[in-house]
Parts: sequence; structure tokens; C-alpha cells
Amino acid sequence: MCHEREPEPYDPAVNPSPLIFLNSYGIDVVVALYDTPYTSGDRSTLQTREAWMTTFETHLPAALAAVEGDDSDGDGQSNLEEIELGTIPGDALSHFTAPADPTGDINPDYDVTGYDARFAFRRVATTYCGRAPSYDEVQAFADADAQAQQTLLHAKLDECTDTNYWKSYALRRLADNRIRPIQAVGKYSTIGVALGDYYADYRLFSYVMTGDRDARDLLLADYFIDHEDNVVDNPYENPAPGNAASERQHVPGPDRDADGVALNDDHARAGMITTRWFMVANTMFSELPRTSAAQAMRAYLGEDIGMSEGLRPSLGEPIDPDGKGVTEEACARCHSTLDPLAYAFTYYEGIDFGGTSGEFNADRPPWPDFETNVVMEIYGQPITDAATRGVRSWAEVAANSDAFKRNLVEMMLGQALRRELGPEEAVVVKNLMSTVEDDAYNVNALLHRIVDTDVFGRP
Amino acid sequence: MTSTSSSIWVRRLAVCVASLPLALLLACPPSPPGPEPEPTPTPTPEPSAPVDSGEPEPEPSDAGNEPEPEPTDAGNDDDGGVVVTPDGGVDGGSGGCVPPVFDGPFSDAPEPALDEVPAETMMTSARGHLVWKRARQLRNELTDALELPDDELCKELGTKNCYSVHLVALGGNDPIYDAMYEPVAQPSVVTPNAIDRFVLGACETRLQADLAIDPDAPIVDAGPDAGAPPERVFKHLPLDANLAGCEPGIDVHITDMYRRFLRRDPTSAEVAKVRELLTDVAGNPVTGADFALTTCFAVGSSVENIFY
Repeated sequence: MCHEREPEPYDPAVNPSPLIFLNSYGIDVVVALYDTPYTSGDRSTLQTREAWMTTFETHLPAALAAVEGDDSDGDGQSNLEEIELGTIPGDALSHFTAPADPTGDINPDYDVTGYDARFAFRRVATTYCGRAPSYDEVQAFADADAQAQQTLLHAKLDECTDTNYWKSYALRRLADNRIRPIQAVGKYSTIGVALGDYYADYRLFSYVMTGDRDARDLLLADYFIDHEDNVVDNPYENPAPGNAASERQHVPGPDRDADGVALNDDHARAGMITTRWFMVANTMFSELPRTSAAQAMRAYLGEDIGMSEGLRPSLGEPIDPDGKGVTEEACARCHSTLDPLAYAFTYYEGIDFGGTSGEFNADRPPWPDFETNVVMEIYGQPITDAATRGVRSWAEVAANSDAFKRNLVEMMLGQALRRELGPEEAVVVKNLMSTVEDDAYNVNALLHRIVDTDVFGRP
Repeated sequence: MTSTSSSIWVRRLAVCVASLPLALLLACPPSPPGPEPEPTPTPTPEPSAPVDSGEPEPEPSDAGNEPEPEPTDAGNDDDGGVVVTPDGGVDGGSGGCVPPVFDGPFSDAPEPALDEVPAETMMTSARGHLVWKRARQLRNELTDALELPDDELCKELGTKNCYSVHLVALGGNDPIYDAMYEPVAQPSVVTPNAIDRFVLGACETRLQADLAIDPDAPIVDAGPDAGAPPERVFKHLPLDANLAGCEPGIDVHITDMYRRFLRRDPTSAEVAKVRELLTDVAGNPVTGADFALTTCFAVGSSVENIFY
């Protein structure tokens, strides 16, 4: 809202109570906040927004707990159940009822009463190999006993995750919206404006997500991947043989990329969110790159601040060092979270036609006493060394957060089911999240768990 | 340009036939009877266009042809695609109908009892969360089933790759050239047309390739690097004649189509339905080529082959 127009000052005469915007759950929470029965004709206790907000923040935790067991919208599910399932506790039309068990004669083609191994086998092959299993494979699978079927299914998954389809196609499609390439200004720009090489980002993404590697390297990798899938400090040192476009690139030295731009040292590297392309595509010309922080949160922590997700306000923020007006109340609701997240990204150049795009620069913030005036924070943990280490300390907190685990699980489960995850998958997501750390953030291990779930293998 | 030798109503009938097993899963209601279709003449198939003619076009990245070289995949050069054909069968290319030696599911063995379970009383999925087989997956399976290179499957105007032309409608996305970072969430109104076009084009390409193969040509030693001589896919039927007396080659062909596309054997009911394509709307027998094309299209574009 703050990006479109000036926020309007609060006027009690026009808007006597924010209660008119609340649904039945919100009203129950407010009633619990004040411990006073609310009726539509009695809004006198909530005369000013300021008074309401003060009470709200102080007593909210207890109020939420007090109404957990209630069913505010009368849809048969308690508020707590609805919150855990992801449905709206104040909307009777938003609720989840598990589908009833099927009845009737036995279905000879599919086991619709539970996990159907043959169905799952076909789905594994189509999802991860990009093609259905062959007729012979299907026959061999059908002839195997249950234990052998489990072995065959997981062997098929191993085979699939080593194919070009998975590594060079399917995973890249998962990365598209995280990398957001733009051909016109990419490495093979047709207009002569090559600002970055998003293919290096694609290679890193696929590398981290395969080969039993630690997925936290999406945020922590201090390396690149070359065309032969080797870990390198400079992805531009080994142009692919026969790739004329690559061979044309001049490689000035081991610490510079194909265009002569200095590569960031390891201390300033944080996987996918400090690559040159990431800064070019997100920071652009911004002194305070809020968009970079927002994209990092959206892509790798699954929290879209623009959708009011992941809001964890920091006290005293925002201070608005670049004077964009974000201290206005309507803006501050999000920017009190976003700005502390964005400060670490301000040490990286955005688009710079002088040849420094994406470079780490400890002197980049143009505001006096920047580090001492602002709160640099992620998930309540302060970042004190952004000026020397860049986003890396930010990423270390993020990569070990529950949000990272959830995003990883939701990304891979959503890819497997190819649909928006809903209440039916809520428990599955929770269970899978609990295994991520034990599996050392190994995506292949996560996939093996996913294909064993009921939501994957039950028709 | 591809000839459309099957009329719309024939296609719909065939698709309906081929989607029977999925109907058992989803319990789709039967379509209401429509008006009697106008009979249409069977056009003569046109020769296929040269596969590489025309201007080269930049393939969208979804086609995997961006300049970025892709990592090698040792031991999996073909992504594991395997085509299995039915045992036995005959090469019907000679124009005759020699009864094949066939030991398939349509011998005298009785149908399994479960095949008799009526769809109306059968347990169906309470969830129905089927997944749409997207552009690349569909393309992969067409290349497997029809033994064609992916860039030769189907060409619009003889030059433009159908996969690229209909990429979005087929559920793909091109992040590089179109800056389209997410595919469409659901099939659009043009998706069925795009699927029909893609599958029919691929079947037509296969048919023309088969017609160009002379099964009676003498075997020539072309050297150690020449590879195996090309073999027909629609090899159980005489393509240039009607199919009178071609038993059980017709059933073998139908089974072959099911195995190639759906990776299973057809039921007896499905075979009976597909056999209705042996005659055109006027009740006249169709040629082997037309039957091959319509069965290929019917099974390849069936709901069961589009969702998984």
C-alpha cells in the first residue's frame, strides 16, 4: 500500500473501530483481549486505534491461547485445528474434512483404499525421470512382492535423480522463479548488455539439490559450479568445449568473471543470494536493496513479506535511512521486518555499468553511521558483521531456521504433487520437516521419504 | 503439413474409448449422446515435410536448447527411456495379412474376473489428485512410444516445432526467452487442442516414416557404423491395404499401442471399442494406415496418458 499512495492518517470519526474489518475469529480474539463480551452495538470500549493497538500487542499471546479451543466460524473445527491445517478459523467456508474412505467393489486397476505401490512407481518415474516406466518395468514391478516393490521403487528414484531430466530440466524449473533470468541482459544478451550470467546460478542450484549434498548450500555455498559439474572458485575458467558463445568470453584471471568483474571472496559469498546475477536482478540501482532481501526470503525461506508472511518486527525499526517514507504507519508494519533484513544486502553493488555489478563493497552504504543506527536482524538474531562478511552471517541464521526446512519440504513436495499444498498435506509437511536435519539436509533423502507418503502414493 | 485423416467425432470416440481405465479411477460420467456426425471422406495422407526445413528457431529453454551446455549424464544418455513392443506379431508392411504368431493377452485364455467389475459399483478415489503430464514429460513419452527424435515429432507448417509453439498450452514455461517463471497451474481451454495437435502430429510423422520404409528392400551392408536398419512401429498391419482378414494382427497392433503409450495391456472391452475404428462413419473399412493413425492418436491422447 505504501508504494502506491500516501497512507491516510487514522481518523476515528471515519473509522470508529478496526473491529468492522474483523471476521468471527478476530472478534473472538479481541473479546479475549479485553475480556469483555463484544456486541455489534457496543464498540465504545475501543475508541481509538492507539489504545486498541497497545492492548493488542501486550495481551495477544494470552488472547490467542484463550480462543484456541473455540470454533469461531462454527464449521466444526477448532481455531487451533484450523491454524495448524492452514485454513481460516474465521471463515466457515474455509475448512478441511478428510475424504471419506471409498466404498464399492474392488477396483482392479488402482488400490484406492491406501498406498498403491504400482501407482507410486509410475508416478516416481514420470515425476523424476520425466517419462513413465517401460512396459517391462511395470510388469516386473507388478510381479514383485511388496518388499521387492519397495526396493524397486526406491531404486527407480535413485536412477531418476541421476538423469539429465532431473538435474538439468526439472530442478531448473524449480529454480526459475528463484533466479528469474532475463535473456536480454544475460550472458547471451542479444542487445549487447550482458549484466550477469544466470546459468552459473542454475548450475549451482542443481548441484546443491543433487548428489546427496547439503541443501543449506543454497544459502551457504562459497563456490561455483562449472560446465562439467566441478566445484570451482570461478565458474568462468572452463568454457565448455564446442560452446562458441562460452569460448568467446574473455577470462581475465582466477578472481574475475568473464566480464572482468571481481568475484566476491568466500567471506562475502552466500550461495544463491550473493551471486552477481542475484544482485543485478534484485538490487538493481537501489542503495538499500529491500527487494533483494524480500526475494531471498521468498525464494529460500518461503516467506513473502509482500503477502504479510514472516513478519517479525524489530524494535526501533524502520529508521528509513534512504528517506523512502517507510516510517509511515501503514508501511512500517512490513518494513519494521523487511528493513532489518535488507541492511546486510546494501554492501553489494547492484547494476553498475562501470564493471562492479554484484561486488561486495564494505563502503557502499552512503549514510553516515549506518551500522550504528540501524538494527540488522533476521529471525530475532542480530547481524553484527555484515560490513565485513556481507550477507553470509544473515544466511547462516536463515539456513538453519525452521523456515528453510519448511520451504525445502514444501518446494519438493509441491513439485512431486504439482499442486498447491493444502490441509491434507499439513501433517505430512510437519513430519517431513522433522526429518530434514537428521538427513543432513539431503534432498535425495527427502525425496525418498516423499515417495513413501500416502499423499504421493495413494490414488 | 499434417493431414487430419480422422474426423472430430472419430477422435472423440477414440479418446473416450482409450480413457476407460482412468474413468474407473475418477468415475467420470459418460458423455451425453451427441448428434449424428456428418460422414467425412478419408483424405489421402500427405507426405511429411522435411523435418529440418525452414529457418532455425531459438528453442525456448523449456526445450532444453538454451546455449548453456547441460551436465553430462553418464550412463543415462537417453534418460532411461525404453520402448517395449509386444512379443510376436507380424510385419504387415508387405501388404498381405499373414496371421501372426502371437502369444499375447488375446489368446484363448479367459479374462480375469476383476475385469468384469462394473464401473458403476467400483471403488473410486476419494481424492482424485491426478497430476497433469506436462510438456516435457509428454514429449519424452511420445519419443519413446513412437521411436522418433524429439525435434521431429511434430512440426507446425512443416518447420516450427509443435512443442515450442504450444509450450505454454502443454504446461511448460520458458523462463529465458519469455521470462515466464512458472507454468500455468491448470490446463487452459486450448490445452486439449494442443495435446491433440501434438499427439496427432507425432502419430502422423510416425506413419509417414513407416510408409517410407520398404520392408521388402534388400538388406544392404552399410558398414559397421550404419546402425540397425529402420524398422516400422506400426508393423503389425499392412499400411497400404484394408485390414480384411488381418487377424489377430489388429489386436496385436492395439495391444502394441497400449503398451507403447500406457505401458499396460488393454482389456477386452477396450480392444472391442478400439476395433470400432476399423470402419469409417459410413461403415466402410479403413486402410491400415488410417487405422494405425487413429489408434495411435486415440491411445496417445487418452486421459490416462495425459494424467498420472
